[in-house]
Amino acid sequence: MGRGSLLKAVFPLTILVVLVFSLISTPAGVIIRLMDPYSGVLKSLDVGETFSGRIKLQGLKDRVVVVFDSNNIPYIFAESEEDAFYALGYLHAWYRLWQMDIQRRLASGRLSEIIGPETIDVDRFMRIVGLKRSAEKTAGWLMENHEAVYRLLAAYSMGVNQAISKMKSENRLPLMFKLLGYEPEPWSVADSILWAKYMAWTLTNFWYPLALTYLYIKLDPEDVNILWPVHPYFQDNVTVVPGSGAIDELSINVDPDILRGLNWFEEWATGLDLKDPELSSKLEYLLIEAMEMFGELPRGIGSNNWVVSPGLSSTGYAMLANDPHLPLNLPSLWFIVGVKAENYSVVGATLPGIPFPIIGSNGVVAWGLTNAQIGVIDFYLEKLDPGDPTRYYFNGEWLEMSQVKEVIRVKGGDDIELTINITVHGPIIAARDGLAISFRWTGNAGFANDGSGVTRESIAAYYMARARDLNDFIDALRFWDVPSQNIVYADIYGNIAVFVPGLFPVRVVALPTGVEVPVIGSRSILNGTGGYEWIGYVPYEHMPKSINPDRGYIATANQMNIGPYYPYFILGGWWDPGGRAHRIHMLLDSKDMHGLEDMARYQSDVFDWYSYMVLNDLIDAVRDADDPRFSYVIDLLSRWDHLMLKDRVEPTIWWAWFSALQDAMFRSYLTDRGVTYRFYPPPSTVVWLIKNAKDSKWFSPSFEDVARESLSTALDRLEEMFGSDIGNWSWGKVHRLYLAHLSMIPELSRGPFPEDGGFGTLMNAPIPWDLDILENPIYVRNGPSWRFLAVMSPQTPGCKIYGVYPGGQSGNPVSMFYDNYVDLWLTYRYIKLQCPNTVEDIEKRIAVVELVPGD
Amino acid sequence: MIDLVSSISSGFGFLRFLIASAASITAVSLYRIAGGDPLIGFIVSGLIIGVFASRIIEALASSVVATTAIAGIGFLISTLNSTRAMAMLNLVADIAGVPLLILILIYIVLAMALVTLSSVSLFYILRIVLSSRAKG
Repeated sequence: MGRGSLLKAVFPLTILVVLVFSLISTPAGVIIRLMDPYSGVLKSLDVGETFSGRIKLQGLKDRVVVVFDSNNIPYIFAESEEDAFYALGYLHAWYRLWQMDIQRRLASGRLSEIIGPETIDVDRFMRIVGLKRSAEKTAGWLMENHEAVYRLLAAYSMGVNQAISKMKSENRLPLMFKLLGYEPEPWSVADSILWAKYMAWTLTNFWYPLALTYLYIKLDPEDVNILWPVHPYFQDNVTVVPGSGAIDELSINVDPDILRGLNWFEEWATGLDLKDPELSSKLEYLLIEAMEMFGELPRGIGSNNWVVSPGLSSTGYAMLANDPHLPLNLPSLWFIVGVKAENYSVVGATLPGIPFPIIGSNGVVAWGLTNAQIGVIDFYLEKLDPGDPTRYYFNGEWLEMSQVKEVIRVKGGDDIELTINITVHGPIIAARDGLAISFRWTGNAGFANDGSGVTRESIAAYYMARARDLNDFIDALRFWDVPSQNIVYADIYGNIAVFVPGLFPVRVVALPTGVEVPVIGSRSILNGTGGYEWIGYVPYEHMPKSINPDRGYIATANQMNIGPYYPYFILGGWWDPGGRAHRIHMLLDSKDMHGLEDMARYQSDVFDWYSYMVLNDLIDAVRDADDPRFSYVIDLLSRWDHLMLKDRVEPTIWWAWFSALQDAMFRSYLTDRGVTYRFYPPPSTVVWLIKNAKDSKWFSPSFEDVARESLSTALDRLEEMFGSDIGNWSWGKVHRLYLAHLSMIPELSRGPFPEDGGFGTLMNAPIPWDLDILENPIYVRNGPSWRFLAVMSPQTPGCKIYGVYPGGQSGNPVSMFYDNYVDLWLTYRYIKLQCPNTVEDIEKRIAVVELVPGD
Repeated sequence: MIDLVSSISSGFGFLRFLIASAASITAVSLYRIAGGDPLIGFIVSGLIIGVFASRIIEALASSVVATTAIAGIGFLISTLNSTRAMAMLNLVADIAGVPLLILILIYIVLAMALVTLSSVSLFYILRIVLSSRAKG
């Protein structure tokens, strides 16, 4: 062949290559890229699929065997813990790499790099919060101070990175990377810590002091304290830790009822005259700016857990149940795994990105978590130097803010340079008119309260899983810094317990009488010029706890943690209104003995405590009304068992009525006072008002009138939506679950599914109390993200441990394991987890993978 | 491709090419069914074609074309015959808002383009290498 022929061939080829590359960035180019047989989506078919075989992995020390059971749960058998966590990192990445990466981007404020300008606000906010800064410092601290745990985190990262390298070299990155057109960066120890920090941050209830301050500015002080009491109504008898709250001889130094009755927004408590017109006017705008930045108020974040002693257990062993209520997405937050190595054996739920199991059992002890809800964040009003807004006034002098400069890269847009100003309290989130709001959060303050951001929960999580008895477990909790949790415990020796570990910031507040009281948290923004600082944390020895209480069980559902005589007055917090806590107590008090099936039944319980409390009052109020529709509705509701079942119409009518009732009570009251947000008090307040204040201004002109009008409104709205045949108003038409993919792409999401439950049921499935959602549906998006049951019998491998979450182990949407747990979860069934001693113990195996050291 | 076809037809005859290709395809297919490595299949097919071909250059070249083509077609058939692959294509079609048929066509065109490009490139490389060796 001559040179001319070669050139003839090269020329069209060059044109072709140029053409293909020029198309890459266009929509057509994206399609071509996705369909490229060499590196397109079809190359990713097998990523996240389970297979048998042998894989050589660099950095592994010894052979690791992973056995998958028929539910695609991997059981890792390794010689050393390092190899076990290496393997876990590899598996997490193999099944959930994109989820891990997008979580990391969310937490570090790097979404816009791959999505575009739509996520700039989220990125800016997360950069300001500074989780990445704290995570990096924590990683550095662990490396220097706790090498054992650091080494395991590093081994996990190495496993993740091996999977990333393999996928990249084989052009097999998961679908979402190809859809978005980017590749993941290597994983680091700080990335694992970052995700733990993010989880802690979302469980902080960070918005409530801002919201309460805003309400205080806009409303009458007395009203704020009635509608949003310091501690929720009806909870003294169902606190997480039973009893008065006193620790041995130590109790709060002032009558707690007096403390609860004080107005904690006043200047003696906050250092600010929040009712001063000039200040409140400036502050209102700042608060709105800050609240907008913090986004929508979370709804329905909560959890249940309880433990039952052998004396109340028909199994003869202690039992534990836990279902954390968190966002329900695909892929799920959780990944089930069993890990067995020398001196380490655990089965339970891990969070992809974090190696240590969060909720699980090691065959000797089991543990479960709910959020403690106690205030661990304070907001400060900073006074800025009028001549130089980078200076602020603190303890009698003007200080320079420290500054962190960051760049947000934006796909398809210009980079954004961001300067984050930080005071002694923490980062500034809003500033105007010579004032600024900063915040101090335990996750950033760090365990030494030095602002380093160093927290040690990874150490705690590691040692909790290694605990061989109650003392080991208590020792491990010494390191639990954030998020503060109600951790229930059960073991094979018949012990049950609850602990409320975490960093609880203490301030000393001088009451108007001059008496000084140690308080935890706050209800409002505080004066940042000094005098309202944290003096430290509640000592570990004073951690709220209860071990083997007389009543034989412990139950937590985000309710008030401890009795009012606790030596520190818990001023700040955002507790559940209490319906779930009451219901657990009702159920556990209802029988002498409880079996495993009972525990499962309680987790799926859909009894609504709020309707149970007030429905008769409401029915009595409308019984004599002349609306012809009422008699049928009253008859239905009178016979209703308060179960929020999806195929029943009573829950729909109750929800609509209670929603309309709250509108009647609060809508015009709030809007007349300029409150532009739909900040309604918690339902426990409504219940309390119905039970205790029917003649109050909240029911105007009368309770009967308000009840009547609200029922009428509810029925009108339901008729408009579903027609006049009440038989068509089933709850499942209003109340539907949607499992959105993390990308929000509908094709990768599942649902909507008609769903049982409601706002206050144990089977937690909240939608707002808002009739407008009839026209503009809001789906259930939070709920029991992981149902876990454990009977603490000493038998292994024949243990009785069960779990399920709404999703599947694989992040690959065409895998059969992408959503295979959804139906199980919807129908309240469980997967039996295994507690093997050896590889041979695994039942119903579908695959065995051997990981061996290699290049 | 025009160069390739003319070379084949003029060099050792179209019939011989067809026979060689058929033998090559059969050999590679059997070998692949047995789970063998494609590279070894390629070498085996080259040897088979060598029996039929009068000149080693054309033998190797046609072997390359034939094996690459069969690999490409086999790849396409096996891919499009896979439930999971079709599920993935359906998913991408839904997400991108592009008809499934268009996606499949794009995929086939790209796959064939890839096959053609690689076979033509290999053909030229082999010819150049072997020609220069023969001359040397």
